[in-house]
Amino acid sequence: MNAVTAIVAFGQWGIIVMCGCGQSVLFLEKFIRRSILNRCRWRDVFAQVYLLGTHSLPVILVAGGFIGMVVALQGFHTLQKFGAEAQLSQLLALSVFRELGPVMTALLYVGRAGSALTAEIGLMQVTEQIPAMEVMAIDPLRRVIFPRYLSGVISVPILTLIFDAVALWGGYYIAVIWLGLDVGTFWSNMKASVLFNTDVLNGLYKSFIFGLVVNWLALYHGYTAIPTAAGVGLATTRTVVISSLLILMLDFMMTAFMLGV
Amino acid sequence: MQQRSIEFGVGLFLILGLLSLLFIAFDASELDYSEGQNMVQVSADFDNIAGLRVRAPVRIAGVRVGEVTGIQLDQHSYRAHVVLKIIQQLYHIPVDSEARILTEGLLGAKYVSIIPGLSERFLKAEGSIQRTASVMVLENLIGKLIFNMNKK
Amino acid sequence: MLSKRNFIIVLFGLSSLVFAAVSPVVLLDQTAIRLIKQLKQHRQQLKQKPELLVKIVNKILIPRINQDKMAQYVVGRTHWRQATAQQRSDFLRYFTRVVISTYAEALHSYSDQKISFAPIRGRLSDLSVVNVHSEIEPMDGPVINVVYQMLREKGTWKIIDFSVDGVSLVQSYRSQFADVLLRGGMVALLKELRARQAE
Repeated sequence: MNAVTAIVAFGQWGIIVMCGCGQSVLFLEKFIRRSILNRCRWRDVFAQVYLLGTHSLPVILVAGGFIGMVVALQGFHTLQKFGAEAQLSQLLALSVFRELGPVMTALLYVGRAGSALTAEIGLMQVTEQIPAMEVMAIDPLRRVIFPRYLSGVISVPILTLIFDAVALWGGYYIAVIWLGLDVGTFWSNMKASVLFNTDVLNGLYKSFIFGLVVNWLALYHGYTAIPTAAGVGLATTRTVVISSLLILMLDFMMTAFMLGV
Repeated sequence: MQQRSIEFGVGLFLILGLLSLLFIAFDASELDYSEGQNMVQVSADFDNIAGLRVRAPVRIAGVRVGEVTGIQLDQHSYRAHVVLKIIQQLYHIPVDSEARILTEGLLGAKYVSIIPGLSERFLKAEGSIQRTASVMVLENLIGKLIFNMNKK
Repeated sequence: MLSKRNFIIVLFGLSSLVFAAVSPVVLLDQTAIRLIKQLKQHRQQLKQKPELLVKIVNKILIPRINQDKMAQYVVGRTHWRQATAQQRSDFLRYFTRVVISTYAEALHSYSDQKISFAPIRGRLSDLSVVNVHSEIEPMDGPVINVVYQMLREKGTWKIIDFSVDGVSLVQSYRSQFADVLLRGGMVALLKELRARQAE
C-alpha cells in the first residue's frame, strides 16, 4: 500500500467515524423526542432497572470493596513515610468520591450492563423482532429503547453511590482492622475533609453524565448492529471500547472543569 | 412469580442506594453549612500572607467561624488585603482584635486565627482588623538556625 | 506682623512638623538614635555595671511603649476582665520588668550595628495600628528583622508588640502564660512571676 492509498483509506475511515457520530446523535434525538412526552410504561422501566441495576450489584459490590481496600493499603504505605497516616481516610474518601467511584462504576457498568444491552438489542435485530414491531405499528424506540435508556440513566448514579459506600467500608476494614489506625480518627478526619456539596455531588454529576452517554451508545450500537451473529459481537465490542474511552475522556474534561482550569 | 422477583430486586437496589446516600451524607462528609447562613464581611491587611489561600478557614479559639474569600495586593501600601467572611451568629469581634496567619500542624495548610481584643466596641460589617501579624516563614528561621550552629 | 504669604509658609512649616511628629517611623528612629547615643556615651560604665542598661532602657524605650495595652493583650480578654485592680497593677509591674530585661539583654551585645527602618507606604491616616519593619545588620551573619507594632493614640504612636524574625513577644508570653492562667487564673500567674523574679 503506497502513501496515497493509505491517506485515502485514512480519509475514508474518518468519514465513517464522522457519519457514525452523526447517526448516533440523530438516534438519540429521535428516541428521546418520540418518547419523552408520552406515557411511560413503568413496568418496563422497573424490569430494566432490575436487569441493569440489580444484576450489576454483585460486580459493583465486589469491585467497590476491593478498590477501597487497595487504596487504603497503598495509601497507608506511602503516607507512613511522612508520618501522615491519619490522613488516610481523607485520601481514600476524596479519591473514591471524586474519581474512582464514578469512573470505575461506569466502566464496570459498561462491561456488565452496557454490553448486555447492546447484545440484547442486537439480538432483537437479528431475530427481526424490531422490524416486526414496526410492522405492527409499535414504535420500537418508544417501547424498547427508551425504557432501557431511562432505567440505565437512573441506575448508574445509584450504583455509584453504592460503590462509594462499599469502597469506604473496604478501606475502613483495611485501615482500622488490619493496619490498626484509630477508628475515631478515621471517620472524623474523613468527615472533616469531605464536603458533600462539592466532592460527593461532583462525583454524582459525573456519574450521571456517564450514565447518559454509556446507555445511549450501548443502545445505539445494538440498534444499528449488522443483523448477524458476528455483527452483534462486533457491536458489543464497539460499545465497550468506545464507551470506556469516552468515559475516560469525559472524566478528564469534567474534572478540569470542576477544579476550575 | 417473575414479577415478584423483579419488584424485590428493584426495591433492594433502590434501598441499597438510599442507604449508601444517607451513610455518605451523614457519616462520610460534611454538609457545607456556610453556604446557607448569613455571612458578615471584614478585612485585614497583612505584611506577608505566603501560603494563605482563598477558602482557608478563619478560626477563633480554634473553632471555625468563617473563611477567607479574597486576597488582593493593596497597590498603595504593598500589603496583602485579605477579605474574611464570618458567620453572622458567631460574629462578635472586638475592634482591637488581632489577626494572625497560622499553620495547621507543622506542614499543614495556612489559616487565619483571630484573637479577640479587650474592647467593648465590636467591629461593624465591612470593618477592618487593624492588628495583624505576618506569616512566620519557616525557611528564614531555619536559615538563621543553621547559621548560628555554624558560628559555634 | 506677618504678611499673608509668610503666614501661609509658616502654617505649612508647622503642619509638616506635625506630620513628621505623627509618623511612627520617625518616632522609632528618634528613639533608636537616642538609645544608641546613650549606649555609646556610657560604654565604659556599662562594661563594669551592666545593670545600668536597665536604667537606660527604662528612660528611653519604656515611654515609647504602651505597657498597659501590651499587658492586656498578653493576659487575654477573659482573665484581664476577671482580674482585680490590684492584680492588674501587680502584673503590669512584673511584665514591664520582663520587657525591660528582654530588651536590655538584646542590647547587651550591641556593638555599633546599623539599624534601619523601612518607611510606611500608603495612607497613614486610615490606620490605627501599623507594623514598622526594621533591620539590624550585625557585623557577621544575616540581618535580623524586627517588626514593631504601634498603636495610634492622642497624636502619637506607642509600641504594643515587637517581633524578632517573625516571633512576637506578646504571642510568646501569651503562650507561656496561657497554661498557668488556665489552671489557676491571675493568682497563679502572679505567684509564678513572683517566684521567677526572685531567682
